[in-house]
Amino acid sequence: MTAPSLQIITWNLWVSAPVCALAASAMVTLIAGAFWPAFARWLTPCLALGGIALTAAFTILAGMLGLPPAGMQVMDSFTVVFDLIILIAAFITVLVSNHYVTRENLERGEYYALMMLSASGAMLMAASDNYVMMFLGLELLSIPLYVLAGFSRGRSESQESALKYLLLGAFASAFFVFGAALVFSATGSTNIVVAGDATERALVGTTPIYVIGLAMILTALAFKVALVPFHMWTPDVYQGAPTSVTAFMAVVAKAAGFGALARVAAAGPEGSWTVLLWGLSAATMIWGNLLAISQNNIKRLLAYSSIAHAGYLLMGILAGGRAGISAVLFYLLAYAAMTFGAFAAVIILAGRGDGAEDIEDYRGIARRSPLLGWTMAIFMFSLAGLPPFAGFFGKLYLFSAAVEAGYPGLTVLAVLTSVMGVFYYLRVTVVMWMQEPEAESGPAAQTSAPLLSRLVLSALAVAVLALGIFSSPVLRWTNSGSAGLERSAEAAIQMTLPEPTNAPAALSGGSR
Amino acid sequence: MLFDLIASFIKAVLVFAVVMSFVPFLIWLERKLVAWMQQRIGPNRTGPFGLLQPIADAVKLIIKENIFPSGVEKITYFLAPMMSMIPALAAFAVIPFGSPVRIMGRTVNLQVADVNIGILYILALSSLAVYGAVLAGWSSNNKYSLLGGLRTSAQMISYELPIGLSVVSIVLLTGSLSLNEVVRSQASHGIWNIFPQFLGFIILLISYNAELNRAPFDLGEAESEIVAGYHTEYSGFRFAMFYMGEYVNMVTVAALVTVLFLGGWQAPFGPEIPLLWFLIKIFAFILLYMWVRATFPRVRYDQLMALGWKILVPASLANLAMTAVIIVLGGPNAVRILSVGSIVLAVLVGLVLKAAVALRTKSAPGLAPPAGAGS
Amino acid sequence: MTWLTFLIVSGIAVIFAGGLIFSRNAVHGAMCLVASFCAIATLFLLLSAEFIFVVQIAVYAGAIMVLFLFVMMLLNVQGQEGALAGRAPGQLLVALALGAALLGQAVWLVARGGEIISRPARIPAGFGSPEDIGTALFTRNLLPFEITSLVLLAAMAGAVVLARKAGLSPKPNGAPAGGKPE
Repeated sequence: MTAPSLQIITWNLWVSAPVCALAASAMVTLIAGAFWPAFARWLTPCLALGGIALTAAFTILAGMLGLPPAGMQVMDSFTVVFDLIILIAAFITVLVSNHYVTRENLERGEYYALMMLSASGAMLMAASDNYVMMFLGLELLSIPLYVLAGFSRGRSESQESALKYLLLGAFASAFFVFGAALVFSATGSTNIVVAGDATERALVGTTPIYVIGLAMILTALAFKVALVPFHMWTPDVYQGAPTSVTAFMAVVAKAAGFGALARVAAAGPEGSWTVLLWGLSAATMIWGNLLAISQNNIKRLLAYSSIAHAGYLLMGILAGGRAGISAVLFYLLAYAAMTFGAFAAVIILAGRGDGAEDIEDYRGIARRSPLLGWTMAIFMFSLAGLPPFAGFFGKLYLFSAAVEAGYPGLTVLAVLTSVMGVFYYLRVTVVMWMQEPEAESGPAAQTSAPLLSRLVLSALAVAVLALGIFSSPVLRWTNSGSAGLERSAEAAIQMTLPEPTNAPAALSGGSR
Repeated sequence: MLFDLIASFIKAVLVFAVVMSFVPFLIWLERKLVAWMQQRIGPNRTGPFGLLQPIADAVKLIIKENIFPSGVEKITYFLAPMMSMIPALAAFAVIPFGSPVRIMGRTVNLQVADVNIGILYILALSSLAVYGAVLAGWSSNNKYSLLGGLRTSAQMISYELPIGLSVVSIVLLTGSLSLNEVVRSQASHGIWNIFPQFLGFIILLISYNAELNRAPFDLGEAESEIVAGYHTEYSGFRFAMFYMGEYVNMVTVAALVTVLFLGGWQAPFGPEIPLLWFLIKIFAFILLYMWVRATFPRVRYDQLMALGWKILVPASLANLAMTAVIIVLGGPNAVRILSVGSIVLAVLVGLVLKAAVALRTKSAPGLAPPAGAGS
Repeated sequence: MTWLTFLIVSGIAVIFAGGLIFSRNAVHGAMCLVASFCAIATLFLLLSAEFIFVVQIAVYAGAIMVLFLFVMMLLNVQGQEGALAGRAPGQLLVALALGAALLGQAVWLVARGGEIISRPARIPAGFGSPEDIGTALFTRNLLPFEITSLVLLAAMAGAVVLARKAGLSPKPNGAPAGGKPE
């Protein structure tokens, strides 16, 4: 019965404060929903919004402290920018969800709590500089999403979506773990930067085991962000899941995956790695845009569109450096605004039971509701990448970063596929504005929505416009984020944190 | 090397023989005792006081024909009785039953194997003991057997949690996972663990009763509901193995509780005679379990689960938290503070329970099944 | 002595792993897996990692596989739905080819292990002891350890959400969210 003499907390707790705050708020929400179900309708979303706001405050505070890497987590400016993007996305999700979950009877305290847990997983993924931590972040992101995808249990599509996502997601997670194990065995470290550095310095050429391990990790992340050929699940899952969950998945899960990719890619070996990313990016852009053209269901269309956008985003990761990562961050922000906008509009249009999800159902809807018509047009134009909206500037920064990094071929391909994208995005707008409504065809699209939903929709449209017009201050902010990524990579190498692997000294501290 | 090997072998054989020879005696004792408590006579035909009755039963069961009922899954049906008995016997290997003795100039631990993770080893084996019931229930191709197997496995898995959590509190108090060390630390504290871990002791007693599948928690073989549960289809020697497994388990559990809470082989007063005090303590526990069996009626299945998950798990968590906090803050006085705190906590848990039951009975009589089952 | 034990135990592990794959009966497969787990646990014992040995048995053989069996029995998986039922044409060939490739890779790696793995693992004394694992878990890896509890919380809450009876079918609007019988 000796008193513990170990120093247990070895890192600055501020590094973990944001994630802890979000997880704690999620637990409060969970408990509140369980014990006061009568108030769950308004109490849980309010608690969720409050928790997210609190977390954002913690993130900004922690970011200002300028903390060193904590061995598992880093709180650099990249993390801050990323966390804020995720928190904004989560905030919007809660606002967008409110109308949807009321209409579809999905109101349970667990809905918001699971969403917040998932968001905290996303934050962990972007903030981790260690494969162990990144894997846990991946799981914390995914497990609530599996459940949320099957949240409307009355609908068999929702269950199919959950099961598909679960099985394939578990498969992808297994790839991640195996990959991390291989990286560990090749380099003796689970730290992303240290492992990458070890292979560069100590070895004659990168070891095959390290490359195989990294490729497996890339596979898992590619699954999460839906890169071709790991995209098969996306349309089915996006279509079947409750629409608010789909929006969350399309933005937060994708953002988290790219955050992790940015961290891994910064330490990736040259050569084979860039070829892999190049191929993935090209395939994703072409295939995503091609298949989107033939879609009739709006959720499937948005699913393929999100695949295509993942291809563009990967270009930024491939380009790397300050400009590339900054462009990725900016694009993620723009993508979040326009995707949420599109899904918010779809939530309103689909009506109770998600009846009207085909594009044809939206004929002439703009006449009945100019608000929906205008906002949807803005989101579609922005997704297509037309000026002066956010999507245009996002693509502009990405493409210029890729050209500067020496990938003109890929950039040409990206421009061409963007032109393909214009076709199917404009088709939605054309249907809404220029075609006559047909009274008898299918379930009629709804236009009525509560005030909150209409406000959110307008705010998102304004945001898309503002991000486009005032893009340079935002870009300066994201630049600071990408600079942070570089700095903390250097810091990690300099510190060369004590690793537990083959060093008995680190382990024997506690034995008596 | 050779000496150790031979010593280990002799110890293993001795422990096996002693434990196995306990079994018939315990069966006789239980029958006599329960009969006495129920104002019957019990076995009295074979031998003096019916002492030879279990031997006669054993002989009868062994020479019976081995029957494979039609439709059973043969391999699993054959293996299941063994899998219920082996873990119980194997668990006894790490239980120290006396202070080390000197033989031929060497120190010999009175323990088959002094492994430094003895406590975990026992927990691992008790988690393997589930397989016997589960496989017997499944392989019998009988719905009552299956129900019994499912019930038993769910029950045993559920009650492993409070057991594990209570044992962890003992580990905190000892600072080691070795059972030898547990006994020695009780000597050095000058007080048996039952005092600083009173609540843990109660929780462990209740949980082990459920883990043993004995009345009032013998839901897996409740004859008024599912014939004989998982061993309905068993007869002859295979049935005897299930029967013996239960009693071997009881001896093991009694020995474990003795080591964990009652100072193992140490004498409460008077001289320390090897094995004597250990045996007395074991028998005290076995008698307690028999008494409980004769006294309490069988509980309902949902009550059993509610007891485990809603009462024992939170209570053992509270006990663990209290133990950890006091050990860190209390310093050298921790054991004394704990001795008071533990009893206070036990009383507190009792009061909370009483209030909860009172509240329940006001709204709905009995521990009702959870509301919202119908939809 | 150690070498012999290693051969025997790993042989048992491989044989039962094969049994898992080739048994047509799901419960037999599960039992083979339990046996294989126990053999692998013994391998840990050979590395004198007693703690991992016990955890392997208690967690994998004792907890996870019991739950597997539980589910199999509740769903009453029958023998016909074994591993080899309902395979796609050509699946066996592809599987054999890939398996052969994996085997070749493994043999190659073992044969040239020293060259490929830059730092072959040295196992320090006391590796895998409770103290070591406790220290590693609660100091350096405290944060991942705590995050694991969050993951488990999310999984538990999710399982409850998906399994709860009330709300199985969409209720008419305005019904309370609680579990009131209708």
